[in-house]
Amino acid sequence: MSILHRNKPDFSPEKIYKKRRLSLEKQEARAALVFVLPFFIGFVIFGLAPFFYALYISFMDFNSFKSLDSLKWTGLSNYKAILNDSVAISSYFKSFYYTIIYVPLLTVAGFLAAVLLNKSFYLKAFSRSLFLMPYVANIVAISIVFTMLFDPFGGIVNIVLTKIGVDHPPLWFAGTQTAILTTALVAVWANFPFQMIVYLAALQGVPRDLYEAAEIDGATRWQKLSRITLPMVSPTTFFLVITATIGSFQNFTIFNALTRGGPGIASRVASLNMYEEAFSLNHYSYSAAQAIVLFVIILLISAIQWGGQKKWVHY
Amino acid sequence: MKVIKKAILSSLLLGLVGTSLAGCGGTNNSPGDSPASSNASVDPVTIKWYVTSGNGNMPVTQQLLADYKAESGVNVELQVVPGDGEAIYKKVDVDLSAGGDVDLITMQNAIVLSKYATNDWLLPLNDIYKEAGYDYETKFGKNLNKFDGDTIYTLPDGLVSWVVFYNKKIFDDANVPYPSGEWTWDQYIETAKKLTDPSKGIYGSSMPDYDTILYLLAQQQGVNAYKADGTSNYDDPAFKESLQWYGELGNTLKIQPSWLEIKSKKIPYDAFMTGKYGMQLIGSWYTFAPQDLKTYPRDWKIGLTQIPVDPQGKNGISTSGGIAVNKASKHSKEAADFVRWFAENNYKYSGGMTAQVNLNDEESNKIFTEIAAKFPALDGITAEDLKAALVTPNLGAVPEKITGSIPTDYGNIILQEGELYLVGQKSLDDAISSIKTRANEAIKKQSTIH
Repeated sequence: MSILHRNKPDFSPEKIYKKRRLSLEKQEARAALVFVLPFFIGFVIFGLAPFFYALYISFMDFNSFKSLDSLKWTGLSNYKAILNDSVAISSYFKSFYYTIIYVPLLTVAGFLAAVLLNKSFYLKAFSRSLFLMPYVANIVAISIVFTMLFDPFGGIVNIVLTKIGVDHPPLWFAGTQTAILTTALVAVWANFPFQMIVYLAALQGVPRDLYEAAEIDGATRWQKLSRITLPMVSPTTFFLVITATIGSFQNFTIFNALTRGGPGIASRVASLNMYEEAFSLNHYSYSAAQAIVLFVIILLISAIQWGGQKKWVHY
Repeated sequence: MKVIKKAILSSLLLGLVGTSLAGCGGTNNSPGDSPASSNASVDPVTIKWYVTSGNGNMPVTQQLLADYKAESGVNVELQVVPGDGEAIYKKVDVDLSAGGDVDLITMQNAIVLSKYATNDWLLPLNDIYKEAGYDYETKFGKNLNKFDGDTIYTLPDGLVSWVVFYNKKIFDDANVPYPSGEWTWDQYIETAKKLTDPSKGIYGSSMPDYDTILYLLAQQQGVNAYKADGTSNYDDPAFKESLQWYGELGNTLKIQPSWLEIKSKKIPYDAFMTGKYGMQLIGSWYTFAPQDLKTYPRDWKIGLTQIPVDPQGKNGISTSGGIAVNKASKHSKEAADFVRWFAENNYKYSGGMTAQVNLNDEESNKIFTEIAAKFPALDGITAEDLKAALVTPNLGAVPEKITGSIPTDYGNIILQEGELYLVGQKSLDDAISSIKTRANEAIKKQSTIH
C-alpha cells in the first residue's frame, strides 16, 4: 500500500454518519453547557464562594470590626469557644426542637390537604386557590396578623379560650415554653401549601386500578391509604421531608418577625444567634464557625435521612 | 492578595447584609453648588459622613452643610445609610471592614462610641485640637466623653437629659397638681396612682423599654456594673432592687403597662402622644413629638419637669452623641474640624440642647427661648420651664448606659434575662444570677475569641 493511498480520506457512508453524529453530540454538549453556565456561575459566586469564605474566616480572628489586612489565623479557637457558650449550644437545641415540631406537622398538613383537595367537590378550583393563599402571603403581614391573634391581652385566641373555661390561657409568643411551638405552628400554616401541591401531583400519579383492585378485595379506606397511597407517594414524602428539614434550620425570617428570639432568649434559634453574633457584636469569625457547625449538623441529619430511606421509600 | 481579599469581602459581606451602601443608599448630597461657597476657584476638600436616611433627608442637614462649606470651604458629602437608629451600624461596620473610606461616623450614644473606640477604629482627637489651639475642655467640660483617662474621639453635639413629660388634661381631670422641681420616685408613683384610671384606659405612667430602665435606680445611685477585676458586678443589691422596682410598676401597682403588655401589644415608644398616659419618662430628644402637631394632633396640653430621684442617688441621667473620625480618614484634620464645628453649632439646627458649658446667661437663655418657641402655643411652655427640667443644678449627672468591655452585650443580656423576670417566667434571684453569669461569660468570650 502506497503512502498516498494510506492518507486518502475515508468518505464511506458509515464514516460520514459517525462524524455527523459526533458533531451533533458536540453541538448538543456545547448547547447544554451554555444553558447550564448561568446557573453554574451564579452557584459558584453566590453559593460555593460564600461557603468557602465562611469556612476560611471561621479560622481567623475577625471578631471585631477591623481591616482585612490585619486578620490573623486562630486555628480552632472559634470552634472551641462554641463549646463554652451556653447560649450558642442552646440555640442549636432550639433549632432542633423547632425542626421536630415543624417537619412532621408540615408534612402531615400538606398530605391531608392534598388528599382532601384530590376529591371531587363543588368549588374545587376555588378551594385550591384559597388553600394557596398562606403561601403567597408576606411574612411581615403574617407576623402582624398572628401577633394580634395570639396577643395574651385581648387576642381573639385567648378570648375564645377564656370563654370556653380555660383559666390560664397560654402566652403564645410571649411564653418561654410556647414561643417556639407557636412560631412552628405559624410556619406550618404559611408553608403547607407547597407540600400540598407537590402531594397533589403525586396523588394524581397513583394508578386508579390499584384502588379498584383493592376495593374488589374489600379493602377499607384506611387500608387503601396505608397500603396504596402512602407507599406510592413515599418518594415524594422523602423529598418533602428532606427539603423541609433543611429549610427548617433556615428559619431566621420567621423568628425575627415573630419573636426576635424572645422572651429572653427562649426562642433564640441558631440562625438568630449567628445573626446577633455577626451583626450586633461584630463577631464575624465566631458567627461563621457557628454557621459551619450548623452546616455539619444539617449534613449529618440529611445523611441519616438518606440512609434510612431504604426502609420506607418505595421507588 | 490584599486587593483580592478586600474585593471578596466587599461582595460577600455586603451581600449578606442585603443592601450595599453604594447601591441602595449612597447619595451625593453635597452642597457643592452652594452660592455661599467662598473658595470656588480652589478644588475643595471633600469629606464623607455616614448619616441615617432620616437625617440625610432633612432640609436642616442640607442647610448645615451649606453653612459649614461657606465658613470652611470644605465639602461634606453625605453617605446615606438606609435605616434609622442603631440598625445602620450593621451596614457601617461591614462597609468599614471592607475598606470604606468614609471620614465621619455619627456616634448615636455611649454604647456605639464605646464599641468603635474599644475596637480601635476611631482617631483620637486630642493632638489635632491641641495643635490647632482648640480648648475643648473649657468648651465642653464635664460633658466630654473620655476613654482611658483622657482620650477623646468625639465632641458632644448636644445633651439629652432624662425628663418627665406630662399630660395636663389627665392631671386636671384627676385634680392632681402638676409636678415641679425636685421630686422622688415615691412621689412619682403616688402621682401615677392618682392618674391611673382603668375605666378610661388611662395609665398614670409610661417608660421606655430600654435596657437602662431595668437598672435605672442603680445607675442613679452611681453603682458600677463592673467589679475592679473587670467581672460583672450585677450581684450588687442595687441592680436587683432596680429590676424589682421596675417590674412592680407594671405588674403589681399597674400604674403603667406591664412588660408583657408592652411586648405582646407592641406598644410604640410614642404611645404617650395618644393622650392615654399621665406621664412619660424619657430623654429630652422626645421634645420633637410634642412640637409636631401634624404627626401628633392633640387638643390637650403638655408640660415637662425633671426626672425623679432616689434619696440614695440624687442624680439626673444624661447622654450625648457626637461625630467621630474614622482612623483611616485621608482628611483627618478637616474631619476633626467638622466635628468641632458640628458640636458647637448643631443645636442651632436641631433645636436641641447644646453640650457647651461655657455659655453665659444670655446665650443660654437664647437657646432655651428658641427651643420653647418650637412648642405649640397651647402648651405654654416657657424657657424657664425648660431650664428647670433640663438644667438641674440640684442633681448630679450619671451616664445613661452601661458601657465598659462588653457595651452591646451587657445591655442585651440585661434585657433578655430581665424580661424573663418581668413576664413572670423566672424568679428575681434567678434573673439577676443569669445576668451576672452570662455577662461574665461574655467578658471571658471577648478575651478568648479576640
